Amino acid sequence: MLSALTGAPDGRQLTDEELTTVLAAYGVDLWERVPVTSVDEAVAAGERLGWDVVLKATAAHLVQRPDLAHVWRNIDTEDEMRDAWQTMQALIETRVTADFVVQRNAPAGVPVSIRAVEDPLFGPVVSFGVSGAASDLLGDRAYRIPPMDQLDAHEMVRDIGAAPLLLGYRGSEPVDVASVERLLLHVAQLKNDLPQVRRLDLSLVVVGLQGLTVLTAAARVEAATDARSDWYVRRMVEAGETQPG
Amino acid sequence: MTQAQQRSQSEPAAPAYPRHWEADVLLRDGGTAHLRPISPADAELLVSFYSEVSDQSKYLRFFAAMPTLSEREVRRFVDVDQQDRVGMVLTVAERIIAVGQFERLPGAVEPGGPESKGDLAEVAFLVQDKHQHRGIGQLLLEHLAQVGREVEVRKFVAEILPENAGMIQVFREAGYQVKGGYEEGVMHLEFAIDPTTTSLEVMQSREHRAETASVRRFFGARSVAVVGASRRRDTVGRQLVRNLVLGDYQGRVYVVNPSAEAVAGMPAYASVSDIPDEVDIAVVAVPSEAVPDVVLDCANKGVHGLVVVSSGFAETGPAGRRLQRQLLRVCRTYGLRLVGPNALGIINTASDLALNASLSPVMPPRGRAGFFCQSGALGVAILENVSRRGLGLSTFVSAGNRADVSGNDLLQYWEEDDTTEVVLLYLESIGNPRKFSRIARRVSRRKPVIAVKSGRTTQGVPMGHAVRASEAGQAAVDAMFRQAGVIQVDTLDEMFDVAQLLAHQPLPRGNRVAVVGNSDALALMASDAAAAAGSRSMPGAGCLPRPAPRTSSTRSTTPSTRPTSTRSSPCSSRRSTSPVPRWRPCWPSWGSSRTSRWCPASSPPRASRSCCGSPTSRGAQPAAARSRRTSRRRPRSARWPLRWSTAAGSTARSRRSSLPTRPTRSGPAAPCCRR
Repeated sequence: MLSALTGAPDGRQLTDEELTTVLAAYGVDLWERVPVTSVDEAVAAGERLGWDVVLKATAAHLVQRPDLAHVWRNIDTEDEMRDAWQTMQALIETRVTADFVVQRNAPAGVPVSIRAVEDPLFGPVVSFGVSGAASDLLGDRAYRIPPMDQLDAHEMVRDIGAAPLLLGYRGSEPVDVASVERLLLHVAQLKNDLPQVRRLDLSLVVVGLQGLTVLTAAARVEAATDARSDWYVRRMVEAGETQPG
Repeated sequence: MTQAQQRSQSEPAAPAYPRHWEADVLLRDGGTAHLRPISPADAELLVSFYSEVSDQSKYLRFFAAMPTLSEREVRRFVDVDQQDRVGMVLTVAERIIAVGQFERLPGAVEPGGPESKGDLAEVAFLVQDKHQHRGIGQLLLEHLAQVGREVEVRKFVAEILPENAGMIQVFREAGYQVKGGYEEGVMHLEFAIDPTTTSLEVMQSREHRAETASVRRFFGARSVAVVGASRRRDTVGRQLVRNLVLGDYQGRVYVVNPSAEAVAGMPAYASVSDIPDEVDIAVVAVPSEAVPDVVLDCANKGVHGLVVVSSGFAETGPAGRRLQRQLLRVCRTYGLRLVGPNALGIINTASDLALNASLSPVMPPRGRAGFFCQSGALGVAILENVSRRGLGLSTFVSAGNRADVSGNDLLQYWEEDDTTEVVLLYLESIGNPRKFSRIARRVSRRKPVIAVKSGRTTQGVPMGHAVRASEAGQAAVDAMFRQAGVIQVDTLDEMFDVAQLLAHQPLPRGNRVAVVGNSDALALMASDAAAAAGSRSMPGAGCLPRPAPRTSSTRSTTPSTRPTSTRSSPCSSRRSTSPVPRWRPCWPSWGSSRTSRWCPASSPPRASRSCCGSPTSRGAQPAAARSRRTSRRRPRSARWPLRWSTAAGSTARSRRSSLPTRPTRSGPAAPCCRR
């Protein structure tokens, strides 16, 4: 499955198709994103996806900024798309780097992000947090080391300060936390199996009242330096490399 | 599966020497050996190996009398492509002691085309008779299976004579789904080599057994040689001899000094090999350059392990690092385990096997805590601290640069060591955190593991420790400890506080603390501190009466293994900002005994809670400060915490516990000044 990944010796970013395949193998459904650069492309993408789509800007300085109106939801017709395109272009002045994409409209919910990295010291590390600039800046994330069990996932979701957003806050309905826990376990399993995945970033996962949708994901692969040396066979740590702890 | 596939594709075509198959392995009895792919240069070694195999073993391997191997047969052994024919040898002191091979059977299972490779391979081992029953067959099978997965072999088959019980057992016990039957008087076994849960469990329990045995041979040494014992006073070697003898060691002590006839009234030997009796461990205090030669000397004598207190290794710079690498290489080649270098030494306080093979003149009192640390200077401080506090130790290791024997080995040993009830680790660096987390998850279910990790924020490690820096940072370290059920503390003092609490008090049932005092002001400060540490405290005097808690009929009534629900507390309606202890560890060996000591069996556990359930009687503040840490632990049992967590599912966890850094805390000696 990952045989194509070793082509680049210094590692490379996975394409969307590859990533979709990899994630699908672990039961994670990544929704298609269609990058567009013009209004006609956006309309075509909308038609292809069967409408009820969103148009959103994905440049780093625009995402997760409600004040900048980076996303336009529920676009059902060509006219609406053209309207959305023009309005957003007016709102977002730096449209050259706005990186618009068209995507199917996801059920509303709480946006969360799940990240998994291959740490030089720990091997796989999975982290979880609610999306948003404030969460990022405050470092409100929970970390776990795979292999993870259900209890780990259960606690991880509740560890963060923003957990009430998921469990019901100011009268909102609790979202489907169980689906987040399942996703965390799937990601942990993937990361545990594949040390070559240097970094996996499910940066936008919308958790609804029932189920969740994985909207944005990126991954980078690199040749594994330490192939889980004592995981499948017993061996003592080599002289010269890391010493045992 | 994918990992194996991918690696095989990144691998250049055969017959390049697959260096990554090489491994140092620990045998069942705790000795080490080196496993490597066979190469054409091994022909001579193979012949001499074969000459030391009994005719019976040869017969069982080849089903025929094969007193010697012909030239052609030898070439067939050693000229392998490491793809379709794979051979691995196990060596000790550069002599082969076992050979394992597999040979791919041509397109046997999936005939997808003329060029398709079979995914079935026939596997066979041959182990020298004197090395049989050391778990070698299992190790070979494990590594051959890993190689097999890499070269896309799916199944192993083996043909075994029915009388070869040992080999049949190797296959049966490996944890694979073995199918088999008799055909023409030969047993025919077949199994898929994808790792199964059982095979991984089997592997881990074998790893546990080997590492435990390895450490036990240090602590249970019946004879010790001190290499570098000196006649002069105030030298390290002299001190070592003194400590051993004055530490009531009941085994034999030999001193090795080529230039003296006697040291401290004991006859001196010129080398370890000259010692007439067996030597279990050698304590080495010669200058660093001479240490590798001592290893050779010890290997020749058949010594199990070395405690190298000599300094001048990786802690001094690149040259020392090279020397340390060479030292470890020599130890592994000749099958010795190594504590150190730059170690303070090892101490066992057991009455029948008191052993002070360390530079510390202070022998800690006998007790129930096992201590592992690295730096020697720190080790001295720890031992003094321990004596001052009257906290007894069962075993103590200061592994210095811990080139070989590490905290992981000790954890494995302590897991089943009956004399140790509490595990204390002072970790200056964690070299193999994955393994640490794997073992600690298991050990912390049975015994409390308390760890100080220095360099939490700076990721600093002392000179001499080769570790990679973590990119995920402190949050990941904290997560790892927490996930592993390890009680993480910030200072040595705090560690001893927790250890004393765990050793002398019953486990708190929850986080409610009653403060007893004769001054309101002090009591208020104490309860403030308790609240800040995550406890619910009730200022006031004496044991407060409290409404009878709601009890849940579904829970077990065994006090030491039952999760405590703080929801039954009258305070639970308030939303707490403190971490809620959601579980109770199940350390039956000491938990129950302590509980019974403090709660008379006649009194119902719940009624006595306010008096004996909380550790206030021994100073409210330190206890309160600790309870927060204690609450971070949880057992890793796959069964009941799940049920339990569902019950507590709606309780949002405090965010405090998830913050990446916690405020530095002074020792509980001055708890009021913490804030």
